[in-house]
Amino acid sequence: MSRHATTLFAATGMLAALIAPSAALAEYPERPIHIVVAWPAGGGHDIAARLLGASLSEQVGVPVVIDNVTGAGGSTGVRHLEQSDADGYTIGLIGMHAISQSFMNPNATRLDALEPVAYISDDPGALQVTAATGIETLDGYIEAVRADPGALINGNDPQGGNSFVFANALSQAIEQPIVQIPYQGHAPNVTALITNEIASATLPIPPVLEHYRGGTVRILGVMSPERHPMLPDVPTFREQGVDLVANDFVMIAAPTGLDPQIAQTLSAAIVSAVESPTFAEPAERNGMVLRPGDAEMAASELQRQVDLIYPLLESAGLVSAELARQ
Amino acid sequence: MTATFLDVLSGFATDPAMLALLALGALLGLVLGAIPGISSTMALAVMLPVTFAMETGAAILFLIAIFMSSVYGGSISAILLKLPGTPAAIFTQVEGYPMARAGRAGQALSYALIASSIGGLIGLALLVTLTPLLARVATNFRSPEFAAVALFGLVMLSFSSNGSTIVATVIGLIGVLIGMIGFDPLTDAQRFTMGQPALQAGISLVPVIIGLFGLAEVLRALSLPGDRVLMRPSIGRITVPLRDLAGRVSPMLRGSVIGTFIGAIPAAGSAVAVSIAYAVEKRLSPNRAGFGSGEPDGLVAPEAANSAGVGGSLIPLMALGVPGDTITAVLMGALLLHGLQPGPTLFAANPTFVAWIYASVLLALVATLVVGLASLRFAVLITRVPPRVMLIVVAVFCVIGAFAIRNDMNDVYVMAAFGLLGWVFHKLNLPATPLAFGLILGPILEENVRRSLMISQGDWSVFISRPVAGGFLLISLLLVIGPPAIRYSRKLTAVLE
Repeated sequence: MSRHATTLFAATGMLAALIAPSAALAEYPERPIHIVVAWPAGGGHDIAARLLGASLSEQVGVPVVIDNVTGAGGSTGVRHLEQSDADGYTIGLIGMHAISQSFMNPNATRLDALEPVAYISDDPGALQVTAATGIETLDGYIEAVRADPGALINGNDPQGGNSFVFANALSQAIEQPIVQIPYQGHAPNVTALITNEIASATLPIPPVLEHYRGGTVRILGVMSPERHPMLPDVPTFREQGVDLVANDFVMIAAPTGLDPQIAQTLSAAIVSAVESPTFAEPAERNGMVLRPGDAEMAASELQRQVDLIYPLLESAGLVSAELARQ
Repeated sequence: MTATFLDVLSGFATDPAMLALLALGALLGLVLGAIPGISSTMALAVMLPVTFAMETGAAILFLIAIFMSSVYGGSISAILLKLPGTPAAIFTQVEGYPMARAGRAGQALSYALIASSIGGLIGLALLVTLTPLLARVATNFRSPEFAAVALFGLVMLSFSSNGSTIVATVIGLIGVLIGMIGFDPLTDAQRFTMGQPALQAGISLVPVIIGLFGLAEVLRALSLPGDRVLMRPSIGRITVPLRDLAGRVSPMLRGSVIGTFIGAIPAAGSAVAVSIAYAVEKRLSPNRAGFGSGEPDGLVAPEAANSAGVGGSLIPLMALGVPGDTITAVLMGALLLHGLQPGPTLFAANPTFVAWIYASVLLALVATLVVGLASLRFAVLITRVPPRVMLIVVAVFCVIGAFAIRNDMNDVYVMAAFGLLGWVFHKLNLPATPLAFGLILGPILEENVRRSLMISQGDWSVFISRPVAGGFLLISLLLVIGPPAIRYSRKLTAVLE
């Protein structure tokens, strides 16, 4: 399959060389492609990028290199991407952090400086409680938090992280303030759930899955339109009468100004790479909900996410004055 | 369980392909660990896609071999070049580099390797026997306990440098303040960044350490009168006399136990383990007077702690399904890719998987020892390179190492600035290590103190009403007021007599 694809791309390349005025353009890609990851080696984004790199390399026939450019809540990496040449040789993996930072941090990259190339996956939010709370259902949770908001402390990311957005979306959907305590990253947040330092969390599914299976953590609802493929027995929020859909996502973006032909080649190659078993099998085992899509779909998803996240950040008072929308 | 373990072990040990993979992993880990700027975490992450094509058992063996030997690899560059290859090797250079300068490079490496192997074995033994117990202890650690351990570490460390305790404390506090630059850990608000994108990413540990120790050493050598730069230390004998080794069993044991326990606390990590192991030895070793000028006690304890920490860090991963540090997080990622979920149900549901891990750690230890011994002769040859050439090589490695950790040029400037600072410290005879301590422990202390208070709604009694946190604070307090109180009471009795 991959050899066919490589041949196909080689053939396309040769054909393009005959037609296109610029030979350099026609030969794309002729040298290694770099994927910028805004988070450290070993994290969820990093693993996704490394798997994608292996698969994409099979598709395009050149090596794919992962560059972890980290710090400042992901904005250093996104800035690195923005400042790279728009030649198709530097692309980046972005998620919700890029949207949050673009409104919270005046030094962060504005979203219009990036061009979505392909959509990879969804990562829906969810609500977990510890078994020690004795709460079994979403209704039970809502009742308990209404009775005494201070009794159920929720652990989530610092401002702008995905579980922070999920916690605020939940608070808005059930019209009830939630006490939030920040943790640096998902692993310490899970630890706090297990040690009962907190009563609930709004993490995505993969980091809590095993604790759900072990019975220490209960998952009361998933914030996606359909049930999570790894948790077919857990109902969505909508099924339980609460209209709440919120998810993080993984997409590939490039600096704006990409040559349309390169953009197209790249987009198609990434979509094939995501569909290929080299990527799809391990990624699905890792808890990614794959929904590969082209540049157009990625752009509309990005806009949908902005429309979801901006009001949440605004009502939490986190939007930087100079970045506020009119 | 024992039968499964022996099956797996003999399966690994009799399969030539597995042994080849083991040797390759150990060699890769040694080299990657020795290169400054490539941490154990990065070494594992880079190899991750390769392992997906392997069988699960083979993948675990390969990754753990890399993990284990990168721990010792980090010490090679720390001892020979004063450039810690991994962040956890920062205490190896404190005693190891003076040993190398004094013509005992071979012995220093041997000590490190032996301590690393013994520490690793003890860590594994505790992992096998005490996992359920330690996992339960670990679940008692909440934010107040993390804060108390960090404070305890800072107190221990202020006593651990030669010279004035007050000076060391002040320098340590400067390190704590430097750790606050960048994003606030709890709110992501910006602090001390002056609106500069370069400062937003914070001052991270690796460039600081590389500058403060590695580059500062280059500057120091350059500032010596010309002919002294050219003096090359001799390699010395490589073997360590058995009698010397026997005398250092206690520091190794203490280091191993400290390393395993601290490694088992989620989020503490190996840098904290080695700091505390060194600081404890500074107080308990009978040879403490020689610390700072190449005392093997101060080398073997952190080495043993570092290696034992591998076993320790696997405890929360296997028993709780929580990666305690970034290295085990990558390992967990690799296991997930193979469809294996570490967690509370693991021991009952998948004994083979548990056996894979135990057998891999054991074999990785042996492989590291073999590869390490084989590499000793070559490694010490580094000290034969003419100093003029070596200084350039070290300087280049400082730049590459600082850059590689985040692919950020700003880190190179940070490294250079701290290199200058380290040289100034040297000229003023000030200790540089407390600065690194402050930078490691400060952010942990701050984050957990603030989070504890958020949860307790501002009630400070959480730090003393919880037994473990209160215990650590009490010991810290005794450490601070104890020595002056004893001195005062002696004076008082002298006056009364």
